[in-house]
Amino acid sequence: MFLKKLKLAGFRNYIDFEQNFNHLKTIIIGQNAQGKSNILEAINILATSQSDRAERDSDIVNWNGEYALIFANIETKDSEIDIALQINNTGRRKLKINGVPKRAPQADLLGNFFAVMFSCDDLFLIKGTPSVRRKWLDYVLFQLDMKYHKTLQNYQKAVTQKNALLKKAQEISMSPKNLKQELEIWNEQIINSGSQILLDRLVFFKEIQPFARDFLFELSKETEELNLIYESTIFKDKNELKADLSYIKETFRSMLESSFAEELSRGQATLGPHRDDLKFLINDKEAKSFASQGQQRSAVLALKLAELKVIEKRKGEIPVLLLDDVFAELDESRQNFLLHHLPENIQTFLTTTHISDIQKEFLEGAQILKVKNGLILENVECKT
Amino acid sequence: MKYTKPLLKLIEEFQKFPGVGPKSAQRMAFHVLNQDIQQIEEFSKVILAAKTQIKKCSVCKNLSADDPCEICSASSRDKKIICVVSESKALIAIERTNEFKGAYHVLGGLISPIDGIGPDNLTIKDLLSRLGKNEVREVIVALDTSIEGEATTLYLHRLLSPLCSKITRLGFGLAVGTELEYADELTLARALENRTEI
Ligand SMILES: Nc1ncnc2c1ncn2[C@@H]1O[C@H](COP(=O)(O)OP(=O)(O)OP(=O)(O)O)[C@@H](O)[C@H]1O
Ligand SMILES: [Mg+2]
Ligand SMILES: [Zn+2]
Repeated sequence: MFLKKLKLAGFRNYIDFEQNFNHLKTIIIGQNAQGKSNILEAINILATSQSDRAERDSDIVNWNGEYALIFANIETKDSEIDIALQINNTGRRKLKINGVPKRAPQADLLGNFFAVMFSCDDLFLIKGTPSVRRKWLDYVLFQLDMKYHKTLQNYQKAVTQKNALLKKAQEISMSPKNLKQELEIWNEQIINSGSQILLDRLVFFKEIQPFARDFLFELSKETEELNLIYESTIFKDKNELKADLSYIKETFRSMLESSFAEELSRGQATLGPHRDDLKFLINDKEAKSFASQGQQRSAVLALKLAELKVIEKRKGEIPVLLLDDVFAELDESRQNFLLHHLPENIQTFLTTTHISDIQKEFLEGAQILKVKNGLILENVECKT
Repeated sequence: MKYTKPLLKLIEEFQKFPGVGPKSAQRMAFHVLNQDIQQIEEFSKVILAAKTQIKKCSVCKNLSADDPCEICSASSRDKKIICVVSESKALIAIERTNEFKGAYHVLGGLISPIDGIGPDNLTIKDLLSRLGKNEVREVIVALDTSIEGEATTLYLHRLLSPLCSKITRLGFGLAVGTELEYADELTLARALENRTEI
């Protein structure tokens, strides 16, 4: 997979950006707040349909404009794809793929282009809140499985409705029979889509686990063993967690029944994949509490490389790698490890404030873009 | 330059209409100003007449100037089949197909706790009493496939099952004219699930 051309108009601080890419590595260099990450953000949206950092879609629209345009020309193994995505500051979207307008601009964008984003924010994957880890899982799954996005959307809507109902039940008195009747219609949908989400996550987990483990084992010179554990709010005993849809549904249903009183008293849906978490164990110790800075960095690096592998395996395409400011965080040995474990023909974009943070070997033959305030000042090929 | 007060007020009123943004509202307001006073008087009469003359049919809750409505009073319609829809708009869409010869029931919305709409805010009780009074052979639940539509369908199904032996819903399938490869996966999966024998 190769991004040959990217055009941005009214996207963040880019009023009119157009760039061809014909090197495997593109290094975006510039001072803080000039628009380095913005370029990676745009590329990543093409893969996940969501911004990794915007709270609202409209945030990415230039403050003085009404809409943002992302246009990309992509070369895949056996074809070429043109993507034109327009995001209005009202949040509305328009999408054309190869010139053909699409009816569902969110979902129809997925599955055309694949990318792995690795930014310094990912270093919070281990120590951060559960929502950071769920977001990581969800964004990878958006790319892997086109149905996942829609299923998650349905699930979240049903949870929102259920929460509103539980709140109302706290405020006004409802007969238990009526409340149960009304809850059931949301729980039914929560069980259906939630079980599918749980299943998809488990299947992905099984796939990524051995890769992540091997990478960290090698990176740590065979001293660290990584274990990923999916912590489900439905299966309190992780040994009972099985990737079997009807079994998951059944368990979900009975858990919801027995938690009726608790959910009601809390006024919130407390069970389901929206409350699940991931646990990382390094040598059987919980990384969240015990891992050193360096161990965390290694573990996240292993995880990102593993993510790349899973996408490549499932999709048969090598995703584009987006490295946002991570080189300052990775020492020479980790940089080397990354460099030597990437697929040979992978297209990589990386941002940095200081070219000196990056290893010579990585720079070789790279295209270097110097950005300042949403403009490309210089575009040169690096000769070392 | 600011709009003079009455003009601003007019633009604001137009903007309250669904699907009307500031630009269209402005265009509509200027259009009003360009018309003769008689035309505008006529127009406001039409709006008032619509609002005062159109009521809800006491049987099916559809919008109608007559009570019972045209459909409920037509002898040609089979009152033993009731098609449940959320709004009059949906009823009109089904009528346009000329395929349905039964009666309707308009719920007046869908169950949606975030919008403060519970079963009691819909015309479900009226539907129940209709089922109790008449021997209804079939209830067709024809609601949106949204989360709220699904929830309401489920609710009605549970509630009506003891009262009517045949409760159906619309089939899920591919839109007519879709090329299979372009159908979204969820639609395709549903269509497969609901396949029919040929
Ligand atoms: N919607 C927007 N419209 C206009 N400018 C924006 C918008 N959103 C962000 N910016 C600007 O973009 C710049 C930030 O860009 P970006 O995050 O890419 O910086 P960066 O070069 O990666 O910096 P750093 O090295 O600090 O990570 C800021 O100057 C910010 O004001
Ligand atoms: Mg940045
Ligand atoms: Zn009627």
